Formats: sequence, C-alpha cells, structure tokens
Amino acid sequence: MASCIRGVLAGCAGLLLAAMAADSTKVVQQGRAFSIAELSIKQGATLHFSNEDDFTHEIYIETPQFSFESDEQEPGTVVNVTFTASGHFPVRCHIHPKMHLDVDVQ
Amino acid sequence: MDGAAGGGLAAWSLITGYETNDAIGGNLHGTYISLNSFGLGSLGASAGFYDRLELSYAHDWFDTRSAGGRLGLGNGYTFNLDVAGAKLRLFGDAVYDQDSWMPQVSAGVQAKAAENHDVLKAIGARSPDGVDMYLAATKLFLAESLLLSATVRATKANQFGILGFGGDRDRFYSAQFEGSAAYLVTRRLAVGGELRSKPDTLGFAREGTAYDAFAAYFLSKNISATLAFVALGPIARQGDQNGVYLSLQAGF
Amino acid sequence: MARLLLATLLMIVAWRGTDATDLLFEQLGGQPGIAKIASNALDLYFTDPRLAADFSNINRAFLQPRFTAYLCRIAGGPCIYKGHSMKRSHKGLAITQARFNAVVEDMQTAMDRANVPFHVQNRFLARLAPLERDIVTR
Repeated sequence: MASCIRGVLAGCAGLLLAAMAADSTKVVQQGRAFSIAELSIKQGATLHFSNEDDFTHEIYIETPQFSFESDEQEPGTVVNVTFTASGHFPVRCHIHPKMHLDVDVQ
Repeated sequence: MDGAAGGGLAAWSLITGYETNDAIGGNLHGTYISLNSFGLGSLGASAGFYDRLELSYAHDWFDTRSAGGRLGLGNGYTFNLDVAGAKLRLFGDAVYDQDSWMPQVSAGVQAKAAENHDVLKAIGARSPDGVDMYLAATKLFLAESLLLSATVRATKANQFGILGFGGDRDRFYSAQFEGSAAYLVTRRLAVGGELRSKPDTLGFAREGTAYDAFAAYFLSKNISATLAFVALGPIARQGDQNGVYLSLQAGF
Repeated sequence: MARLLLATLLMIVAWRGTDATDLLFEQLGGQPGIAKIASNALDLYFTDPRLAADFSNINRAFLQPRFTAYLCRIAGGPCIYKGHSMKRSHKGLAITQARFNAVVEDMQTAMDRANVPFHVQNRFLARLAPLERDIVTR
C-alpha cells in the first residue's frame, strides 16, 4: 500500500526532474525502488545515489558505451556516477531486480 | 474429550488453528470410544484467534448399553454432557522457542453441564453443572521429534463431568494431573501415550486414572485420524473399562 | 512411573548436550547436501504461489550463495557467512508468520527431495525455528 503511493509520488517527481535536466542530481533508493523512474541529464553530469532504504543495494549499468559497478552499497551511503558518454543507460540493482531507473544522457 | 486442543485425554496449551498469530483457525472433531461395557462419543468444534485465544464446544454422550439395565436405568440409557471452553495462551511458543526450555503455557476454563439431572442426583452427584480450570504447559522438542505436555486441573467432575460434579465422598475442588508424550515418527505419523487423573467423589461409582496409547495419522494437512487403546479405569460399577478409541479431526 | 519419566527427561538432556555440531552437517550431506537443499528450497520459494510474489523482489543469483552459506553455518558446517543478520536483512519486509511457516514447509519439501531423513530434518528445523522472532515482523 505504502509503496503504491510512493510509486505514484515517484512518478510525479520523475516527470518534474526529467524536465529539469540538471548537472548534479540526487536519486534516492528507498522501499527497494529508485525515487525516479526515468531521467534526462547532460553529458558529464553526476548522479548521487543515496541509499535511504533498510536494505543494501548494488547498482550497475551495463551497456557497450558505458558500464558501472558499485560495490555493496550499505544503507546510509551515497554512490556517485558521472555519465561521460551520451546515450540511453538503464540503471539496475544486482540484488533487487525490480529497481529500474532509465537515464537519458544528451 | 473436553473439546479443547490436545490429545484425547489431556488438554494442551496449544491454540487451535495453524499457528498463525495473524489469522483465525478452526477445528472439528468426532470421536468414538468402545469400552467393555459402554460406548462413549464426542463431537465438537473449536476456533483459535491469533494464536492467543481458543474457544471450544463439545457434546459428549455416554451410552450405558446393557449396563444401563443392570444399573436400573434401562438398556441403552445415555448420559449427555455439554462442554464450553475458553483457553488463553499466557506466554511461550511451543514450536518456535526451540532455543530455550520455555514451554508454551496456557490457562483454560471449561463450563460443563450434564443432563439427566434426576439420575445424577440419585447416584449422589452434588450438581449437574461444574467448571474446570486448568493450567497447561506444552513443548515440542523438535530436535528430539518429541512433544511433551503437562496440565494441572482444578475439577470436581465425575467421569469428565458425565456423571455430574462433586459427590458424597468429596464436594470440594481437587487438583488433578494430565500428561501427554508424543513421538513424531514421520511427517504424517505420531505415536504416544497419555494419562489423566480424576477425582473420586462418588461413593456409588469409584473411578481412577485414565490412560491411553495412541497413534495419530495425518491423511492430509487438514485431516487427521487417531486410533488409541484406552484404559479408563472403573466406570459406574462395571469394572475397569478398556477399549478402542477412534477420532477424526479436520482443521484449517 | 515418575522415575521412568525422570529417566527419559535426563536422557533427553544428555543427548542434547553431546550433540556434536559437525554431526548434523554431515547428516545433511555436508557441503553438497546443503547446496542441494538450498537450491531445492529456492526452487520452491520462487514458484510457491504463497511466496513467489515476495521472492520476485530479490535476485536469486544474489540470494542463493548467501542462503547456502547461512544454512551451512547453521548446520555447523565450516562456512563463513558474511551477510547481514536475519533481523537486519528482513527488516522492512513485513513478513507474516503465515509466510514464515510456508518457507519452513517448503524447506521440509526441499529436504524430502534431497533424501534427508525425517529426524535429521527436525534437528535442522530446531535450529531454524527460533529465527521466527527475528524474521517475522507482523
């Protein structure tokens, strides 16, 4: 129930942030989900993944243009990812397969 | 016998239902005991609430068969007993507390009302109605595949209440003991034994401790059958009553 | 009668005391046995209609080695479990007693499929049962 409401709010926040295309953005991991579902950013921008969840996460990106592996990200820690290449990058969690964030870099 | 969750003779501290503290469970039972001189039957239902409270009801009947004739009541004269019970789990968990010696302890009360008032009065029973109170401790020793249960009961019941409460020999409550031990042979089969001591208040009909040796078989997750050999001691002047006990239980 | 009861109880106490940790691990089939049990159990958890929805939230490839190592350690095997405690790793999941019981039932089936004898299963379950108070939060 709570995660459903959170999902709707995340969707709204997602639309807002997608429109903003900032240089440095914070993404929150909570309730085994990212706070945003999709995001547009400029090439060279950095995303700060803040684990505010009860669980350890382990985010990764795996594409021909750009790959990234975080180590186990304990609750209360931040992982920074700088997107140097342009393109479309799905961010996933090794531990929680339902966590999806799609990043569009221009 | 009394309708509470337990073995055939002894009341356990377990709450009916499938051990879930967030749900309501229930159980139905039908039992028949064929003894040397008598037939004894029981039908009942119980409901367990959140692994905390159990409410139960059972109706027992006691068929005197030809002994009825010998007792001057007429062949096939039947005594009837209604039992309404409530049991509250006080502390402990019989199943999950495998890392401690703590048993699951429950307190229970059973209000019993026997019919046949005139006959009960004639045999010396002080009252056709009575209340039993008990404290039960049960534990599953999973590593040993063994279930043990011990109960202390304050009662005045004659033959579980079938022959009324209190008598000419004793009109006060007495403390009685019940115990069960069951060994889990396979996931479906448990074997064990029980004993239940009883007050002996009627000069007319002496009684003693009841014993049984049983095998309980789970036909499915919800249905089980129990077969037992019982030795109920002397009943209504007809000598020691031994026999076979068969019970069917359905739970959810 | 009372003496027989006392003797039986004393035997149970003595047996519990001498129960070597290694013995259960061996009786479960050692390293390969535990791995098989863990794999069988996960097969069931991910397909059991009572549990599949919950388990769809976790990556089996992540869970399996940790689950195996944990069971191995509980069984008294020489494994090192580096993951979080049961309390920490299940916090926030709102696990009900009914779901915990379903997991235990499936574990029993998993051990049946690995041909673990009934009484050995019970000895293992005796070590897992107390986890209920750490895992069940509702």
